[in-house]
Amino acid sequence: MAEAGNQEYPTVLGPDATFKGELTFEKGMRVMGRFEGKVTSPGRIHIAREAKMQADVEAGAIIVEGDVHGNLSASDRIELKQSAHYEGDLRASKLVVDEGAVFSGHVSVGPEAVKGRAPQPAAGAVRPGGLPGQPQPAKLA
Amino acid sequence: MASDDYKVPTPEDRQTIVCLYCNKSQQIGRKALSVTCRYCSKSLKLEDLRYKDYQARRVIETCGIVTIERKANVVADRVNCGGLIVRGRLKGAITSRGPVLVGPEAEITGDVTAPVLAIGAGAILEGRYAIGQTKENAQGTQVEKR
Repeated sequence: MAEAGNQEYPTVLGPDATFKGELTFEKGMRVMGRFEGKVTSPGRIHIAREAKMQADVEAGAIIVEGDVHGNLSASDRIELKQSAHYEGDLRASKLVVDEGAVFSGHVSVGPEAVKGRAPQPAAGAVRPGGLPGQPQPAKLA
Repeated sequence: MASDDYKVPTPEDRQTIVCLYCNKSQQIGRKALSVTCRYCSKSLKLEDLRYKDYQARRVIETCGIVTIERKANVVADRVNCGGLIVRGRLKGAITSRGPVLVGPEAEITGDVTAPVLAIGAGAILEGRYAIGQTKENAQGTQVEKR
């Protein structure tokens, strides 16, 4: 069972971990700790019940069970589970809201809402970087 | 005397509603179609409303359930209701005391405030949403019995 879970979410931010910066991944990620910054992925991200996120997320699918502040954009779907607390702007093709979920913010849902906004495929599996707006290392010629 | 014939409704003949204006709950007869709030004296409609075609309204207000059918296109400045089912198109600022159910072919444009939201795949939503016990919804329903 755990093996199957690991295959779906190969990248995991553990419950005692804090991450600040920009993150890209390919397949799936589970966030159980604190995250500040930006996430970009064509895959799926699962924000667990104990997670706290202050981030802008662009992904294929986003499943929220924890606390999230920031803008979410999903080319497929966003699921807000029963324990979800979300504040921010939301853009997705489909939205699923479970009873008990709390959220406030601007919502754009529908096939038109995400046209031309698909997240760019990630170059590497996990690429931590600086916070948005911070100077990035110079690129090699 | 007429007052001797009057029978006080038994508890099962009564329902509890929450005033759309003062947020106070009160018990009323189950068969009533409209009442006057005993706290703020505003008139409250209790009937369920069903829209099947194009309608333009300034305000849609009822403590009952508003249903927007599949072929309906309703435009209103404000929709204030006890529950909402949308299968067609609805444009307006929505405040619902009960669940908002959005069908798969529905389209809602406008701000929505509700305790629960259920959305079918394929629905189109646009606007500012406050769902669940958010700050916007946390005005608090005052329960008082008379």
